[in-house]
Amino acid sequence: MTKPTESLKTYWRSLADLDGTMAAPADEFPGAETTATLLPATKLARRKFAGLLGASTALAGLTTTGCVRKPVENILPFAKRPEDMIPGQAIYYATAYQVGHSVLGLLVESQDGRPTKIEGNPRHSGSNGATDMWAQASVLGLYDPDRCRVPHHLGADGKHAVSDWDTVTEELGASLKQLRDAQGAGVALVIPTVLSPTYRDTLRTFKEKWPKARIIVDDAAAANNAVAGAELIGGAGARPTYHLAGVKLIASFDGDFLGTDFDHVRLQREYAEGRSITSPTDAAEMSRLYVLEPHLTVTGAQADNRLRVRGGDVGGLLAALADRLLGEKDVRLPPGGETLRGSLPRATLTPEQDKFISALASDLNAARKARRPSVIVVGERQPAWVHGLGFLLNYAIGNGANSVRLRLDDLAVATEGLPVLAAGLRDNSITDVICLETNPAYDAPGDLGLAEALKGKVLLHLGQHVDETGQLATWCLPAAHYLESWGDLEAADTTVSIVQPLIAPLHSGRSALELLAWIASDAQIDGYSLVQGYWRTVLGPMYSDRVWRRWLHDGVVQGIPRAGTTPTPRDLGGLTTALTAAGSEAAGSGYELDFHLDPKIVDGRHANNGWLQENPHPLTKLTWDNAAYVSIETARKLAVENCDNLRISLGGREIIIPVWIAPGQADDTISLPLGYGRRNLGAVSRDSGVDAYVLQSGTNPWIAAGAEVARQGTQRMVYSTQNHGSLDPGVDPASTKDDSQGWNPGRGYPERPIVRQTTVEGFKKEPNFSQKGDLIAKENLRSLWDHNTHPDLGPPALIGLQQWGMAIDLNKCTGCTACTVACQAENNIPVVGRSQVANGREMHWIRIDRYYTGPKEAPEAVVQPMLCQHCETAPCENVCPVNATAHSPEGLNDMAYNRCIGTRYCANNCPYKVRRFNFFNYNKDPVNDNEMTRMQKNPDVTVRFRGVIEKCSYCVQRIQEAKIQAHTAGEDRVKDGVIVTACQQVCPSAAITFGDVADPNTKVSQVKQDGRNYGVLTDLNTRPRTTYLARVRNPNPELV
Amino acid sequence: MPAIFPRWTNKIPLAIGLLGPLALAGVVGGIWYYFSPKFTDVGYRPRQPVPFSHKLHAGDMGMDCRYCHNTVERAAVAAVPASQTCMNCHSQVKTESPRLKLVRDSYTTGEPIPWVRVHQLPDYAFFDHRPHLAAGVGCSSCHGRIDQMTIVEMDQPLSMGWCLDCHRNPEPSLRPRDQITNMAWDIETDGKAYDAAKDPTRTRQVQPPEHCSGCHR
Repeated sequence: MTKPTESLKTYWRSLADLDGTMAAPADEFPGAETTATLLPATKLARRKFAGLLGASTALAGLTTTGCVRKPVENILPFAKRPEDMIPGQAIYYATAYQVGHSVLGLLVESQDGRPTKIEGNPRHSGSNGATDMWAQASVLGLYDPDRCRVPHHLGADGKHAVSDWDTVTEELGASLKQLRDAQGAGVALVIPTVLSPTYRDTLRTFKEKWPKARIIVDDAAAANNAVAGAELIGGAGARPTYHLAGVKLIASFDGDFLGTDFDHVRLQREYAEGRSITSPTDAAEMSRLYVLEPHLTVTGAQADNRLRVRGGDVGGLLAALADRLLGEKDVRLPPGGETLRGSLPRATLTPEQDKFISALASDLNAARKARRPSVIVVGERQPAWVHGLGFLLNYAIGNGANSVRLRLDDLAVATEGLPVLAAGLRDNSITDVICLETNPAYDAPGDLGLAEALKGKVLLHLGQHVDETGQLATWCLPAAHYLESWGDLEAADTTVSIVQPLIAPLHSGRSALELLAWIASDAQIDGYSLVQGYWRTVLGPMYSDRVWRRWLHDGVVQGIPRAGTTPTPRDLGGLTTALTAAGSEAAGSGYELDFHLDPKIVDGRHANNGWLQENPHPLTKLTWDNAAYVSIETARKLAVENCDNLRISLGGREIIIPVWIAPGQADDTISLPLGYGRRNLGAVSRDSGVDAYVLQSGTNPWIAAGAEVARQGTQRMVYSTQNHGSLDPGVDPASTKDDSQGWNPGRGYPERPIVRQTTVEGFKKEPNFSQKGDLIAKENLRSLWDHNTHPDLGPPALIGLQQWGMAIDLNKCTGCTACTVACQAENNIPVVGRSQVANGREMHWIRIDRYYTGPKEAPEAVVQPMLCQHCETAPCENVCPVNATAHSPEGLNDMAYNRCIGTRYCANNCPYKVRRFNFFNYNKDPVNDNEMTRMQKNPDVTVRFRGVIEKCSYCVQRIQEAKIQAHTAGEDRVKDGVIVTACQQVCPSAAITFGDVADPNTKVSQVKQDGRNYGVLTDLNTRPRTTYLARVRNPNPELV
Repeated sequence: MPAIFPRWTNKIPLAIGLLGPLALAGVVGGIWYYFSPKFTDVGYRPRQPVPFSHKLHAGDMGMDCRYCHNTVERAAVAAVPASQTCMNCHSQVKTESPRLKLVRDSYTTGEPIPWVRVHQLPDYAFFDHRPHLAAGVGCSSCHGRIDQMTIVEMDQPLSMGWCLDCHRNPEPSLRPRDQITNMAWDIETDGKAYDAAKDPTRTRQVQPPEHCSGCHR
């Protein structure tokens, strides 16, 4: 009998889980016995329900007497059907999406003219066919019912009155003309990061016509520090990119390059390829990831060696590493670097840090000597000099132009930062502010005081919402969504895409590009003419309609002339000065505040997006709120528990924010996610979290030391899903049964090995380590009944020609949760709201389980996507009294919603806890069902109603579509790779493989041949079709 | 003490015993028939905004179904034609007909004609024309003799049981795939003479799904 091996460590979901203080697993379905503890649903109180019941019965009586037939439905065909348009068939259009400095090429699905689903464009280097959760959810943003729909004008009474574009053109046009005549004196144009060639061209026109105007960039999601660092060593216009293809050693200094830092989708794919292994021999060649960071990020969770450090100490640690690396004889710096080593800031390292940096330095040196590619990645939160030093070190150890590349952006338009705007407003040199899709009244650092200073100064605000700045603006204009407007975007590696609209503006919105062109030169030109006109000029005689149509089709622009100069580190004077300046700064003491972009709602731009708000945070699993993340030690010092409010003050500004104890957080640091606490933005963002921008400072927005932190005394409940759907019943101390034979799994057992991982060493010793975790060996598993003798009780007959199955590689999965959102978009999964999540009723079909392992303070984290396993002998099926869930001959666990009567027996009997129940008519809730969001629904999937169970279907609508196409073409089988599930499609790591497991030649069959392949809870003889490839870590043996 | 209940009441239990089962059978039978699509749906013949006659077009003039319903082989739905399709001919013939006013108006204004849906499945059932055509199920098998209908009506119940009857035993309903739109094809005579398994134009045998997700997604 096999037992869990030593290599399978102890995993826990939360501190309460580890300490054994978690509520008993009887709470598996809250509400069964203790309704008193449930939060009330948002709408229907019992009395109201009774009232409605009576009224509807009466109404039903009225209507049924007159009419038995279902309501009459009309078919409204086109008067003239556009060419190539087939009603009911989806069409895909290529476009592109931008957050900060990241650009993703997309293919957007359009159902009868409605954009419904975002997919990645495989031709685009920034997405490689994948996307992130932000792009996935952006389609819901298009249909946000709280979007600004018409132009508003601030009346004399201080209230916005509805206006129209004609009035705007006339009245605002007159004001703008005056300002233009004054050459733009006193004007500040506030724009986000501009990566659009046409936009830049228009910006140059603006600069020509408004020479005295200031151009300010306000974009919290931008990679401004990385760019500044690149310019520090490469000269003005230098732009950095990291490349991880083939890289064997990654040292991340506070970098979240798999999560929120720029180009994370491309980097995640490249990183995952470096972790792709099939045998212990490959594993020895696997990349190793070192991470130094204050709070556990998606990247930190992937780390082979992770060090908790204060954000402010990261620069000093990099300097220490630089000192050691530059001490090597054959490490050469570019000319001017001789004195650089002398000016490195000297940090005092703790023994633990010293050991870590030494190990990292020797590893980097070994890699350099062996010519194995490595890279030092610096996170966006670090100041420019850390980036500059990081780039320089990469060049010094031979990574320049390989894993770190600089390029010259000769088309960049000079811009200034928010402190300039604040200063200008203070001394009245700026009197009129024009904000195009920016929101400085909300997302500017608090010490600039822009929320106050902008009052009465904002002439014009263009935005998708009447946001904090819009509320102050004299003219608040509706912006067109990127799916409604023309544009173009240049990715970090100079891949250019045309942004094409999929739908005419829903609410008379205009794009920022169109508005800027109008502001610049009073010409009303539509976006299409602007973009096409720009490229016509650039290409000159090479331009043709054929070329243009090819670009639109492919989503990638080809054949444009490039300047082609590559900057290299030269003139290190700037960096040396910056290093000296940094060295003279006193190290921060006291509590340190670490601000960071929220993995879900970025900088707040998606705050009104229900999918993202409800999506559990990748690590802390918090939904709908942010919190101050602190370490266990810090929480003890502050005498706070989860949800206790903290009063955090810095420089006279203070916020009150609930605390969340996050394992892996550095002591005496407090991590604050940005983007929450929006003011009157919309229904979804109401009461969601606390605004942390208030505490930011303009000089170093990301890290601030010396904060005063104290327990405030009250509580604010925030809800995490980390304990929902536990697969492990835990220790049963009451059981006296001796279970050494392993015949009674789950009783008296210390633990069920759900996630399985080992190290490279362990993998070498035990290539089949993952199967050793099975509580009962495969050969000892047998069904009680045989299908032939007991067709009703035995396993179902799997007689289909093709058998569907899935494999998820835990070595590649980073737990970024993009799949959860993609699944929500594809499968019409409703948003249920904070109170329902608190009751454990979130509806996501994919739950990303995050387990901690190791020491409480600084654990390793492992993630595992948990979705319907499509068990061949599914426990849910035999308990359904109405046969609403049954097996298909192709191995799918089917769910017939119209048959389900809601007993929830199936969910109780599901060992994986992946079945979701519609406790309320969530799809009739205003947040899911209004004239706008209704347009997003996928017409190929049933919109579920109250009282039915739902769960992952392996995207059966996509399987059926592929089968229909194959059958129509006269083929019996669907070719491998044709069916791509929504989660597989979106996955930036390409961790998910799906296909026919009956055919040994398919990709999924081959992946399942891997020695790491294992099924979860196979001891229950469920024979899951979804299996996992166990994780292999590659820690530095010196640091173990 | 006088009897409270008159003597005839003694027969009530007997009457209940005899009539009760009858009434129950009546109710069950009534619901069985009157609540089923066989009664509620078959023969449903709504008035259409334009008095278009399939009998005239498809029957007397012999137009192929796919001239108008041209997406039927490429999409789940056999799209109702655009007004433009009507005008392909009616810009030449019957140009002044008052019955075609709505079509002409629709063509000029771009407003769609509000046709009333006749064959309406529940939202949770996902029907797709393509595999049925590829398998060689004729139009008339489900839609009846459209070529004889002046006003289109439902010919078959389109209930789940009706679908499954054919899915469980498809062979009798199959025909050569070049006969799909042939309204005169007769299952009884022509169908008996045809054996799909021996049709050399078929590259695969028809295997209609009988499991839930075949139609419910």
